[in-house]
Amino acid sequence: MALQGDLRHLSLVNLIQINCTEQNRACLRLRSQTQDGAIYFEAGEIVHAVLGTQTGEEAVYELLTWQDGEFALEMDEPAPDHTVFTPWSNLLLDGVRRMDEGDAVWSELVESEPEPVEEAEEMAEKLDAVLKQLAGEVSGFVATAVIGMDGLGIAQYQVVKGVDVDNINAQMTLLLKLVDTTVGKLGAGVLEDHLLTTERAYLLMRFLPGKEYYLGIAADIQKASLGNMRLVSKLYAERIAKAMPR
Amino acid sequence: MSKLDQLLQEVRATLGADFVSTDIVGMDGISIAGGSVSPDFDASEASARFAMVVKLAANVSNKIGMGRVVENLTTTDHAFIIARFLGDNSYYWGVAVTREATLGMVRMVMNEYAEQIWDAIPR
Repeated sequence: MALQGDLRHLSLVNLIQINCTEQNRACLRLRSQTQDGAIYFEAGEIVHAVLGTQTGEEAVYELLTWQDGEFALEMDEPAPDHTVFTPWSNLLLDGVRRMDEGDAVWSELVESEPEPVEEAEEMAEKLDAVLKQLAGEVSGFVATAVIGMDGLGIAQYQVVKGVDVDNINAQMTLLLKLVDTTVGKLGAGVLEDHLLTTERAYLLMRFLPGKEYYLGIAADIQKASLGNMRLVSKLYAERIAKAMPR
Repeated sequence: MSKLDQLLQEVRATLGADFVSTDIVGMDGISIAGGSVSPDFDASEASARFAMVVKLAANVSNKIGMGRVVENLTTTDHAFIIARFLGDNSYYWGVAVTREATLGMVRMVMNEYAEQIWDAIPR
């Protein structure tokens, strides 16, 4: 029997995360008032998607815009075709970015007020200066960034060369989103920060006010102090928020 | 009472009034032992949801070359939630405490008991 539900209660982003993380072989059928679609999962990835005449990545991006509709998950259903080749985490980030860009285009049409270039440059300089100062206060500092919930960094500073900050930003954003959803669903309060401890590093993510951005800090586990990192992140989150335009 | 339950009782007693809940959870999201101060606490939902978090954390850490995940610490305005991998990473140990808890002490207690708890899991 298929697992069934409503996208208003369990979002498509969460359904994709669950099926890919669980490495399910499954078909997720989706139905809105006017359209039917399906996403097929195998071995931890999306392998096929269809929506009307669209298939592949474009079908996934379109389905990600659905705010409501019904879903049914059929386990062990093989994909009839292979049309999706982008890793699922990249698909989600691209999908979210496209939605944000759509919102931005709409806002521009409505407001039609250009963003002052000077203000943007000034903000970038301020953020860079604050991040450099932060680096000096974290023992074992490796990298820091201010990242949007679309997974894109708006400012970053690192002392170790060869760190793929863009990849780290994207991956950590996925994790923070899942943690935030988990905390919300469990009624465990409002998420403030999440710390991932690995055998090599402490990776701390702290929301900035409004939760549209967060501050990420990575430090060497051999040299860093957890208390120092949490304190510095708290102090600097407020300073960074003040340096960002409203 | 099993050895596992006994150890969790000891942890609960050590954490005192700050203790909220604890569970030993397999990577299938199913709790094999645990307890909570609140009868309304849905341990099965919390276990399953945090299993997804620790799995994604392990996946993310692997993709960004940070090595094996040791622990996830989530801070909310109500609680600290610590999910720590045990042994060969086939189980994790989740502990939730109030924000009044001394975080350093909670982590120290978990360090102290993690190996004993892993040894007490029936295999």
